[in-house]
Amino acid sequence: MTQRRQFLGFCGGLGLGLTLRPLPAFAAAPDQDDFAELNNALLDQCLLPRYEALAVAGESLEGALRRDCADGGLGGAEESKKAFHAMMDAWMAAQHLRFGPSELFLRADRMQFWPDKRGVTGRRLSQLLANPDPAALEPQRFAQGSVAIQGLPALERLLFDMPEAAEQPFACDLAVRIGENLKEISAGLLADWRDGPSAYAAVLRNARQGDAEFLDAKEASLQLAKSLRSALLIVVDFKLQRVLGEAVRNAKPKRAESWRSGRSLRNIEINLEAAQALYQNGGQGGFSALLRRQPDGPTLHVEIEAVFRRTRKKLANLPASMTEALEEEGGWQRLSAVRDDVSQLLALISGPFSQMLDLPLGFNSFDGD
Amino acid sequence: MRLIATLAATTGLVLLPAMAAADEAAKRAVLETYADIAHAGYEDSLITAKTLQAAIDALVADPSEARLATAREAWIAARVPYQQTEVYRFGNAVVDDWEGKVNAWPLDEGLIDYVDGGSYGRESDENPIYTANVIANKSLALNGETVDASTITKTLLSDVLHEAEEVEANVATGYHAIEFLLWGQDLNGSGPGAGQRPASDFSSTACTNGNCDRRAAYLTTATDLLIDDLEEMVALWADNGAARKGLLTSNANAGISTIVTGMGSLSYGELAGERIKLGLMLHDPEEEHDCFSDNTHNSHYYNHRGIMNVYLGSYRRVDGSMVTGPSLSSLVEAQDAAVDAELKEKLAASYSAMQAMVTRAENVEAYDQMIGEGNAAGNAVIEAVVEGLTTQTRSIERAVVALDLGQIDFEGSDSLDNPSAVFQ
Repeated sequence: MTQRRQFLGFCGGLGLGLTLRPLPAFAAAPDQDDFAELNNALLDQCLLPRYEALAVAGESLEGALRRDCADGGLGGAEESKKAFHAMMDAWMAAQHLRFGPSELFLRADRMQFWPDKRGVTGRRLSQLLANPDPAALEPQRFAQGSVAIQGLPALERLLFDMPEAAEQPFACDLAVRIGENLKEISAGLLADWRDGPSAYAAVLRNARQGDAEFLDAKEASLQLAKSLRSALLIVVDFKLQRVLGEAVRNAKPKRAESWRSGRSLRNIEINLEAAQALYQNGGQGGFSALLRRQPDGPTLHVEIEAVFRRTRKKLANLPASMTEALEEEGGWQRLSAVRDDVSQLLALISGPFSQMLDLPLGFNSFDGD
Repeated sequence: MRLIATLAATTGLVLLPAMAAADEAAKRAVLETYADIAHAGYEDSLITAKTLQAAIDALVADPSEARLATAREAWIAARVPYQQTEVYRFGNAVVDDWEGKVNAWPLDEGLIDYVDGGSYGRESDENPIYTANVIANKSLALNGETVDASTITKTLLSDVLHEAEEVEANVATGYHAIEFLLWGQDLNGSGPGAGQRPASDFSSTACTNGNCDRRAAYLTTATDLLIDDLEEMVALWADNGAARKGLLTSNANAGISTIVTGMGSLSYGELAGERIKLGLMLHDPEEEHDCFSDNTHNSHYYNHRGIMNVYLGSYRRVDGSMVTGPSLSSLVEAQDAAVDAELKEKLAASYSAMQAMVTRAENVEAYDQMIGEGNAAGNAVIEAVVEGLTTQTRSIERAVVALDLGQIDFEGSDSLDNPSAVFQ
């Protein structure tokens, strides 16, 4: 159904003013060389390192779950909990990169099916634990089965919110299977990005010549700009707006991401750090450097940077748990201020940023209800 | 265009008037076609809804299995034109604001009537009135107060129950509420078969499952509301209707943006994502758009027909007559013939994938079986649909670039409210 976003008005107002101004004589819109350089820089400095970190975390998580379960169950499982947090940290830096290998085999959804608006994860998990069927854990069947029980949210419930499952051997088998599944997915993501002649990194680097995926380097850069927008959009719409509502009394803390492991705001912190890196890294080839070379770009850059800085400072002063933050005096208002900031960032990226770089952001997978 | 605009801006010249005027006129003509197809589509939706209303009146007057079957057929027929209008929803604020009353989905049907406790469950973390069952209860605890539901009225359904407790799944009106009352829950999981509500659920003499009078009242009231809502939308697209006027009097580029916004948002985020991929990756039969009637394949198919209609400027009405006119396709072709050819090819490819899905639904297995776990052949048919819709979205984006409309806010409904939002 229709849950409209509140912040659309910003884009138009800002955009109109900026582009009607006559362009100075030295103005040169970014060309294919610029975009090719951008793609290479962000691949090397942002994308590949993030997938490398994710693969490492996936491997550690699987090992930790295996050891904790061999030790008698999920009861304490301190090592697994720690490894879960490390995996979430790594995933939060890659969650918004929704193209290429992460779309293949529904990997992003299998890694983390969220938001789960209909409570499917809880329902499927209780069904499975009530009728433990070892056949359901057969690796291939499990990996191709329902995304609701094979990823991070299901594992989070097993580790943090199901004391009754702690003693059940089947719950441990399930947790280990999820761990293996996550290890496979993160290893597959990295391999598809990095290795072999048809690696997606090569597709992005060679976009300039045109290939099945991209007509030119600019289309590949557009994907990166869309990822930047996605990071902000997910934070505003799903991680804050759905939880906070329009008034304190409408807050729905259980809609927050990762509330069971008490890290909803930590997730947002990492998301914004990753978004800012996508914007700022890449040296002379990055988005912010490219933007600063456009007329009026320096002004816009200062504004974007200031909002990033302000938002991250506010978040640094809040606890990792959104539930805790909401229980504090004035907590809702502080979170609402973060929402306003990220909305402003989203408007700046969707509007003037994309216009100055001539990268119309087009459609995204969140356009639906 | 961009070159000219930049030139004009840098040199202080105004746009070459003749070229601009011709361009403007061509776009207006395309918008006229678009508005004509909207009007015809909503009018067809109204016509078929009235047939549905007559069938439902006959059913509740003297319930029989034959009359129930006739009403169900009328519901399925009513979906044919309506689903083709959904492409108008994204991009036209006036449609998007209205749509929730008519086609909201998914719904927690336990709000409306009895449900199977085993498969549906008795409570939900998200929805405090998950099983409120207004048909069985003349008084409800709702939104923190006690609500008198002794008489089933339009106001009760549309203003009190619909989206109550600020939960979107509390859907009390529209096609899917009517669908639930005609079919009942589909309790077959991923096995064959749709909902099996007996006609006696509406009988005043041999009532099954209790409260048949209230159930009949609910069904007729919801149907009356649907007619009211469709009449409103037909009027909005008629000659002096606000939707048509808004579109034709605002900037032409903003209007064209509205068309492509609807095409892309419906293709990708809504249809490929929310309505199809979600169910496929959960392998969950509840996640199908027409889950009571097993009519989902047709719903998707006609959504896609709607996308093609507005691009090609051609709509076949329910009486077989055609509404045609200057098309968006020809506008794109004039700018970049290769992009137009590519988009037409992608639309046709998705159409083939949709047809394969419909053929399988009619001859082999229902949509909810196709998305079932372990059904590789069925899954593949649905995956092809998702792939087609996703790929065509990329081509729609290329068409947007070719049309050089400036920045478009694809989030949805902004373009008519705030035409400046779509321009650079």
